Amino acid sequence: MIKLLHTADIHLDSPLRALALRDEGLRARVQIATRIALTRIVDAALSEAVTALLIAGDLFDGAERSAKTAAFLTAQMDRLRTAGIAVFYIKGNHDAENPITGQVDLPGNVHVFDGRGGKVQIEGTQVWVHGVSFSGRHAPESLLPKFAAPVPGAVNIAMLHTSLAGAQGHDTYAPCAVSDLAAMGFDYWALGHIHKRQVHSAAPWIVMPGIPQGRDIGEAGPKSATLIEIGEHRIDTREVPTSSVEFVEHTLDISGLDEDAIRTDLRAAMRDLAGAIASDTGLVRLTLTGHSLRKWQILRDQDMWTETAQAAALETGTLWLEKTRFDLQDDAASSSSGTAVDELDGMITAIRQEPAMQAELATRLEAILAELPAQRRAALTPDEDSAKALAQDLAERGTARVLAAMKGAAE
Amino acid sequence: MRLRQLDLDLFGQFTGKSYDFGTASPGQPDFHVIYGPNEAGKTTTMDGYLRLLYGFPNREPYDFQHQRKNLKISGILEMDGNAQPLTRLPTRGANLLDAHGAPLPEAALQAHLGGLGLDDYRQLLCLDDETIERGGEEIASSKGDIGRLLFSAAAGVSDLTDVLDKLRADADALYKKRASSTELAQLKHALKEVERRIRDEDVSASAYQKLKQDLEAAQQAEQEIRRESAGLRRRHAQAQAQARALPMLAEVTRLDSALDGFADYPQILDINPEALVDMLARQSSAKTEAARLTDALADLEQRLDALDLAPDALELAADLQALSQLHSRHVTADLDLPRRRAALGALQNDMARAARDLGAPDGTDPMSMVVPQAQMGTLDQLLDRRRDAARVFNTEQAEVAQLTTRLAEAKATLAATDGGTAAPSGVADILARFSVDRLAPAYAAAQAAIQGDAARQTEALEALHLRGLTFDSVPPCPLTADEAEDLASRHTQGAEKLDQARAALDALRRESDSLTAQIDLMTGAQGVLTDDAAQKAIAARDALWQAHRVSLSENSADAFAAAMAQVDSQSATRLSQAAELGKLRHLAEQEARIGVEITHAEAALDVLQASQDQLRRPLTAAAAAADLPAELAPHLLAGWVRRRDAAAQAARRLDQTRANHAPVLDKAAQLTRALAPLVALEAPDFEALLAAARNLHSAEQAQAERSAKARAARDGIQADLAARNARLADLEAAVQQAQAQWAAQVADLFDNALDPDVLARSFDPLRNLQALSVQHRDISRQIKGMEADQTTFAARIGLLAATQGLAPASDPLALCSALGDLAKAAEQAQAEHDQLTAARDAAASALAETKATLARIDAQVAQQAQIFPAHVATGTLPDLRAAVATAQDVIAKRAQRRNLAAQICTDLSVDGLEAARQALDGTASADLTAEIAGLEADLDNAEQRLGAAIETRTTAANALAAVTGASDIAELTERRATLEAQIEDTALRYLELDLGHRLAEEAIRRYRDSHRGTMMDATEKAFAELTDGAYTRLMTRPDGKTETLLAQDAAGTTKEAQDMSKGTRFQLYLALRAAAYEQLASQGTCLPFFCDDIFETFDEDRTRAACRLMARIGRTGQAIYLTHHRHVVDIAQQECGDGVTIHHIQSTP
Repeated sequence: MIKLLHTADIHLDSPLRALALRDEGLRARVQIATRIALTRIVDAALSEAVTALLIAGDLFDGAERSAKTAAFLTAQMDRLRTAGIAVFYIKGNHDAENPITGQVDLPGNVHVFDGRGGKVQIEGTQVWVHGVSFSGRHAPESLLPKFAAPVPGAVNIAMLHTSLAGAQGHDTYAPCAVSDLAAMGFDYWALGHIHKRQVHSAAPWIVMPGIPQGRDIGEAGPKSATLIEIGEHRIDTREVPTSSVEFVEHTLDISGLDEDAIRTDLRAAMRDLAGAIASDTGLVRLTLTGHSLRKWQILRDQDMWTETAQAAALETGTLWLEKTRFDLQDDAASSSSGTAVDELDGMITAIRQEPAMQAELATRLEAILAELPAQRRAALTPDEDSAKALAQDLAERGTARVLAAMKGAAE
Repeated sequence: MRLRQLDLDLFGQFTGKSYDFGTASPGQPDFHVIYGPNEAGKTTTMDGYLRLLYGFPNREPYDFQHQRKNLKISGILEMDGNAQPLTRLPTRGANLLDAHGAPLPEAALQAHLGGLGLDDYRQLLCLDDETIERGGEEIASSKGDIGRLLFSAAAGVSDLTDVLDKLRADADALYKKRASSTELAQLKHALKEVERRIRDEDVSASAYQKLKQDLEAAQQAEQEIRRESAGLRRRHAQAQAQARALPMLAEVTRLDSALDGFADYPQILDINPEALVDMLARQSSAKTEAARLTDALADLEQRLDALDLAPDALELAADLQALSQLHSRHVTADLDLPRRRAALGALQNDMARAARDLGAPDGTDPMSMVVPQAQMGTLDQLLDRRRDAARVFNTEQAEVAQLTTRLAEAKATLAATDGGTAAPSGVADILARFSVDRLAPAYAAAQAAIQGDAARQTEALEALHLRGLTFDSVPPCPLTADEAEDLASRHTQGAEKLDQARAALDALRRESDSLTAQIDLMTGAQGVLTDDAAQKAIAARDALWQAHRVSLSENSADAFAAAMAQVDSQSATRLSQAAELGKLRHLAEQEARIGVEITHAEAALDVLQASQDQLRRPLTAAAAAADLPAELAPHLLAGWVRRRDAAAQAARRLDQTRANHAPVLDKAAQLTRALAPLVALEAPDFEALLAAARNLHSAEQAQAERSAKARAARDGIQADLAARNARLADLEAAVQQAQAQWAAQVADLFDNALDPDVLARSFDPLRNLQALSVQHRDISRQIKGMEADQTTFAARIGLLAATQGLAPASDPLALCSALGDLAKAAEQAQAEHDQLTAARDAAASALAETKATLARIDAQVAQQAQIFPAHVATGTLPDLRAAVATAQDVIAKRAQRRNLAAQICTDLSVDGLEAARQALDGTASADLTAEIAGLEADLDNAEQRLGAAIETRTTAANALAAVTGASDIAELTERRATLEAQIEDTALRYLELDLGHRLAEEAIRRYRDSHRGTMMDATEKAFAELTDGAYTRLMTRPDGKTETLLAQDAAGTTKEAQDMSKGTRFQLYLALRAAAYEQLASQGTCLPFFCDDIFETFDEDRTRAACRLMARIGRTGQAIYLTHHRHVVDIAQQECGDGVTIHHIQSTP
């Protein structure tokens, strides 16, 4: 049986975007998770004694261009060379623009396909690897025409970096349909580009392995590489875990709970999460929801609750709190409407909708956004609508803060 | 909603505490004051009420006396006009019960709470001094911003400005434009730092490529310089070698000529020239020594021949030596003997004297009186025994005499004691039979108790003394004290009311009189025509008109005309008196009204009087029953009845005490009867009798004891005396025996020469004699020894003198001296002979040795000369030395030449001197020096360039080596990403607070606009009332976006809110809260309003005003005020009269 390991989108040395990393203890624990992921992939290749490692693009991140990244990569590839494991590598949209790609001296066991495409027989086997690299940052056209026909009587594996049919609002890269791929006659499509793992088809295999290490809450959950086992008559695949850190979204409903019960539930939830994660470390984004009699007290004491949640997370030894959100409603039974604070609440809700106030909110948002690094600003408010929504959301939360402070002031 | 009743069934320190707030009376304020001292539970009461409304919290602080599960609060709430009994239990779920214990849905209660939660209720409807204090501060800190003030009061957020400022401060801590200490600024600073480090420390992929090229170039350059440098160095070494070789070659040539002709000299030399010098020195000294020794030998032989020896006198010295000890003893004895002989004579005299002292007869040999030491001991013992026996006997004799005297005394005492004894009286038996020790204290206690109670009863009866009446026993009374007091108190209240009613009636009557007088004045003196008078005139006119119509006579006409004229005149007058008329009418109306009021007042007075009489009746009856005057004032009677009850109680207690102690008293009486015959007392009381009996008893006991004691003393002495007499006889016998033994021993020892009694006086002469005899013996022995030694010495010397042929002489000492001289001369001659013989032998042996040495030196010279060729002179030692020196020089020069040749060949790298000469052929020393200097400059230059090249290469290599797979840059990049995320998070958190704050400000402004009218009016009214009219109006003044509150006082001057005194600000806040309460009530939420001692800082006038305000709230809803100040209660009652209900909390134990 021949084994191959398939990965893509390593984005080596691309940083995690996690608030939790401000904690020094956590930094010491999960520094440079993408390196750990690559190391684990190489470890897996060695321990599984694979014949070759397939890297389907975006080995580097567009933004990272340090020679030290290249040095690290070279060292890892050299480990494979020493073990006699071949590496097949196609360049994706990020690799193509990254100068490291051109400058790095990769060891002899690494075969890089160029933009014209090609096929290589894995030494001593009846397995052929086909691949086409991106020649520039963009690949608006399908790259399928560049693939040669499968070699008859052999196992044919094709490597392609593609956004497939693409998603709304995102650029398309080497667009093609799954059905097009299936029709090409290859045994296994080793894809890359989309960070969420998906097996599109098992006959032939069309596999998007997903990013081996999630970098923000948008890439939550455990991550893996895909191990391909080529037997006499069939090909099997399975996942090999690679992420050392995973992002976790968790929502806790606190309806009807008093403070002690919330604390108890928080601890239990953290324990459960800690037991459930597949990686060494979990970064939790917690949202408290529900209808609560204690809504205002909790909103008033949100710093304290954040601390409590953080402590509960730390107790597990594997979890860190990334962020806490409070999305609470008044208890249906006790929602008051008679007090002056409630009246003020009503007024503020009305004022928020007034065009003049909306303009003022927008101005204040713009002023503070000017303090942010440009790319964060762009990511936060890509367009006017999102800026407006953000301002409204913040205004709403701010109102809740003020009202909570007023309601809590007499205590 | 209204609280009618609150029952703290089990809550905090309360068990079964109940407050009845009654029903509200229309037209009266619903105002309650709950009064209790500190810690009595005012706050507990309020919290209890809130628990009735909202249930028990999970963590209940009031579970200290009753466990949480047992807590219970109930009450009656009026909701929409219905009274709803409710009970609240601490159970989970369905803990609100109705009167029948059936669960009620919370909504049933919530519907009436206007949507207020527990915290809302506390904030809005429970006011305490802290809230007022903060509210007052809020007025100052909000700078009178009317929007904030109205909202602050309406929302019950008494420190609104603090809340808003805190939010602003929190926001500012996150971000502030151009500030460097905000969280955001610090994060950005950190970001900048991380970016700088990335820039400084990172090597980009393209820079890395360049580094590799740099290293290759540097390596190549370095190799180049190294090669060049090596060439120069080689040539430099060559030139230096040539320069060195040139002078060496010249030296070789010189040496070659110097060695010419010495070719057959030895190649090596194993002779040490120093050894030759040494050998020369030894040869010359040996020759000198041989000559000296020959002369010395001849001299010694001569001196030996001259010596004279005497061998037989040699032994004499030893013989004399053997006699030396005898010789010295002889000399000593000559000196000592006469002295010793004199001493012996003296001793003999002393002994004769000692014998006389002992009483020996004259002529007795003193030596025969000397007693051996053993016999001395026996004598000593016998004498001691004799003395001891005599002493013991004497002592015992004295004792017997003493005892005899004491016996006589004892007998006399016994006779005296037994003389006055009477027969025992039997009192002891009686005392024992009645256990007097227990009975006496019981009797005393009984007496004390009875007397105490009797005194109290007398006191109580004396207290009943009233108006000359005294009471020996407790008089009857149909009323209890409580009843009498109740009646009296009601009677007093009635009397007050009666007085008030009479005063009111008097006032009314006075007013009525005053009105009548005014009317009379107006109608009389002032001539105001009353309506009656006018009517009368008109009626007269009309009558005359009718009469005139009937008669139509002139008279009638005149009469009518006159009447007509009067009416007209009256009309004119009344017209001019219109104002007075109006007043008159008003006065008349008032008079009529007051008349009615008087009638009512009189009726009320009658009713009050009747009720008083009714109250009076049982009191009068009670007075009659006790024979007290019937007109006694009720309160006096009530006091008397209370004292009477006390007297009755005292009487009862006395009877009870007597009954309790009866058995003790009976027993005491019996005892008295039994003792009376024994004691000579006239009508004794119990204590006196008992004391006398006890005295008698103890006197009898003492007599019996004394008698027994005297008898025992006499018997003891008698027995003792008998024993002593027997012993005395034994002792006398022992004395006589000891005396006999002593006399026998003395007679035996001294052969009856001495009197035993004389000897018994002292042993000293005997002992002296013994000591003298010892000395006598010693000195006799010494004298004999000395005489023997002298005889022996003379004999031995005589013999020796004979052997030496000397004539005998009388003085042995002189003979001995002559013999000694002979022996000494013989010894001296023998010693000199021995010395000279030894010196002669030594000189002969040394001479032989010196001659041998000279022979050996000659042999060595001959042997060493063999290595030289024959033509070299080596016969003598100096010759040999010269030959050796020349050979040494030759060998050294040969070696030098060999070394030079080798050095030259090595330096020039050639095989032999020939080759070297060819190599150096034509080279000059000066040329070489110039070339070397040139080469050195070149080398220095190359060295420098190499250093630079190495540095360049090393730098390049280091730079390249620095590019490792290390993760430092990746870590910094990640740090940068984290910082960016933090910046974003901080910015958004800031914005959240900023926008919230901004919106709240705006909304508060609008709140002001929408509530200014109604709330300001209500506040103004309340504030005017609270300040007792000091401030009559509230107004606002625009101040930018805000509006400031101004208060106008009665004089029309305005004052800004923050400029008011602290107390006035408290009042303003209270007014705002009152207005807020009205606003809430007007919106349909009318709930009980609680105040917890908020008037702490108010003076009396302000407290008064505040009470009025509470009453005012009580007119809208229900006002409950909790206080621990008595004066607040008083003021509330003064201000509100029946409009306030006071509830008391008893301080819990």
